[in-house]
Amino acid sequence: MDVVDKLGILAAAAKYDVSCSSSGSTRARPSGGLGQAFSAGICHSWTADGRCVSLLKVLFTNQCIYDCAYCINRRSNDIPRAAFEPAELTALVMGLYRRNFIEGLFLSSAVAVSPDRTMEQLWQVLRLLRERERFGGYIHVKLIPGSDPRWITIIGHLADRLSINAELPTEAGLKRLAPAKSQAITLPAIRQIGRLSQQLQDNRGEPGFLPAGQSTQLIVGATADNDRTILLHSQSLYRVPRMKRVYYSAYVPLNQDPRLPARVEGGLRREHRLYQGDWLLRFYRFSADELLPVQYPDLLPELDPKTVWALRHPAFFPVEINRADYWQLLRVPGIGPTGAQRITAARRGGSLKAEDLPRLRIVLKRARYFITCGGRSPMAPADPAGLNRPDLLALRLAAEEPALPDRQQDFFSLYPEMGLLQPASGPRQASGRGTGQGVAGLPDPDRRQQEAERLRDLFA
Amino acid sequence: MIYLLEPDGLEALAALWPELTEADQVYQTRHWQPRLDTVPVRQAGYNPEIAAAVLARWQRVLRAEGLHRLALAAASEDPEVYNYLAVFIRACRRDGPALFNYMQRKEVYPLRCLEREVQREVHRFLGLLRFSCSKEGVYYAPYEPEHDISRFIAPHFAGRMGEARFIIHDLRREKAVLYEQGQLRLQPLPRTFSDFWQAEDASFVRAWQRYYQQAAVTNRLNPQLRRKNMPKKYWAYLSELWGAAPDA
Ligand code: SF4
Repeated sequence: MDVVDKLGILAAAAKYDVSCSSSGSTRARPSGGLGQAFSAGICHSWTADGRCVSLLKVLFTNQCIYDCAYCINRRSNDIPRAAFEPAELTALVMGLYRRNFIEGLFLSSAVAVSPDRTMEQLWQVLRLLRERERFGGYIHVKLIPGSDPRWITIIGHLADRLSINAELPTEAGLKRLAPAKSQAITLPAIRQIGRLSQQLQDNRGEPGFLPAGQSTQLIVGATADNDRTILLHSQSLYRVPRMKRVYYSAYVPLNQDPRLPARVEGGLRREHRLYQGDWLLRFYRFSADELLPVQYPDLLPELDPKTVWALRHPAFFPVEINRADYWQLLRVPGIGPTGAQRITAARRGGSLKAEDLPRLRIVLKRARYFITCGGRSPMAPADPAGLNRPDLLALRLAAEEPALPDRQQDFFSLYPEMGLLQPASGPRQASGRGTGQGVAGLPDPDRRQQEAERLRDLFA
Repeated sequence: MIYLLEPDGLEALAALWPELTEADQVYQTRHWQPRLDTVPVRQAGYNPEIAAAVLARWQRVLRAEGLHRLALAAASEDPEVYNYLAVFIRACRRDGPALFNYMQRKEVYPLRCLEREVQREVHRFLGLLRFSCSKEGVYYAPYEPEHDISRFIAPHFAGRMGEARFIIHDLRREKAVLYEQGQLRLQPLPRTFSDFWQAEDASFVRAWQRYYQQAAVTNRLNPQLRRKNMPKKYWAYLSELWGAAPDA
């Protein structure tokens, strides 16, 4: 098998991981070497499905000794298998990087032979890249669950980011679906990555150790865990030092397995809402409890979580644009960190009127219900009366929501060779909690009606 | 008076600055379309010493970052760019670099729009530029940017390419940045140069194309999103798309 054919198999197998970011690291080019890391990250292309291509994302091998229920590479699946040689993968990365096709490498692997043997292979690739080729580009490595913790130190000196997938928010879920990845294995590794990189940076001023920190990934929809459980888990993961990102991946039934749910709740729309919730935890100082109190444990498919919070807290509004501080501005639906910064900087040059806000690129369409400018509401005279009632406003805002992805990510298209493993009949698509799509993608009127009634009840 | 500028960039405006009054207008010669009114038109001269002195003065007020932002805006192809710059620079006398933040003001907003547009294209091409390698080991990247951004992207590639020699060729403006022995040089280069370029890296292009095809999820195709992130005007030089369906 030539290297291009291997690349075909091992790139398809790596798509399971959603992270492709090359940001967060600043690495100068080693003397006599090639490449550097750019802190803002760079997209080198966009695939036909609109996603950014930044890193060469591949598995070192898709041969695995484990049999995780949800995974395409599990030992019991009959799929084409391949493995790179360290030298050929190194040559490929260097060649693609020189032509500016990629920003670096995202290297993961199935577990061939043993976790430590696999880590050794990944280390070989990193050594060749960093030491022989003096490569300064971005490298993200996935730690193999169950490998010796000393690999964290070894790889941490060579890679920009190290990650280990937490996969599921509860131990019960892991026990059932991925016993090889029990929390007793993944959480200590996540904490150790955090501890070590923090220590090395603080004590020895060693910014070279994992400059882009760590990340992890949670599968959503393979177990019955609600969104509150997931976001609380993410919140605790973000307390681990140097945890930069928790990724969410909507689960798709790939394998027939009695341990797996036949139907998946939420699909891509749920994944999208979780990302919005996650963003609010990281950059807006919301807590998981504020977003999802015990009595409302799930994100709404119809409305983004910040708008839902705003509708449930009418006493907080309206926010006066000319006086509110940065964090108060951030609580306004339609105002993000850049918008809030622009507002606080611009008003030093004079008081802001509603008509100034579009020049600061604030989307008034959403924000206008929640703000005043110099004591006046920017609501248009044409806006219907009664929008100070949260239930009516919820309906209106839900109707104005931009179209969201509803279709489940179809992993059979990622792995055409898996066609044989899919059920002969029955829906492959998510049940679509709140999908709201009827035939040919048109809104289903019954579903719309149900959504409207639900929102009215929730905010009445 | 209407002044016409021949050289590009912020330096051209700086060289003219001592004689420019608030009533004057300034255009790039290539953007100028003769009008029927009676305003006199004059070709401006270029004195590099005056330009350097004025730029240094601006830098004292706006600091290096502010000057860089003006230079980015000046790379725009918008015909009004020099007039927006002139209005902004005059207003800076009172507000200093904080003026960049007051986007609600009419003397700031148009300039910030241009700066953003150019900056966006600069960032895009840090990723979208495609090099091919000759037998002699020289890397060549032809492209046709909307704005005159070669001088802004070249230092990034000088930083990452190490010892390798490279040429970034703006075919639209027929000029190129050459990088050799740690030095960047901007010089004219005719469009036809690209016709004679012989690349020797078919195997890497094949690997890249295979990777690119594999990275897409075929049941989630989203051509609008791809075109939004990677407008079609840039596709001609993207090797991963060579041979792609024209309506993709
Ligand atoms: S260990 Fe990883 S690659 Fe192997 S079956 Fe489990 S999830 Fe898949």
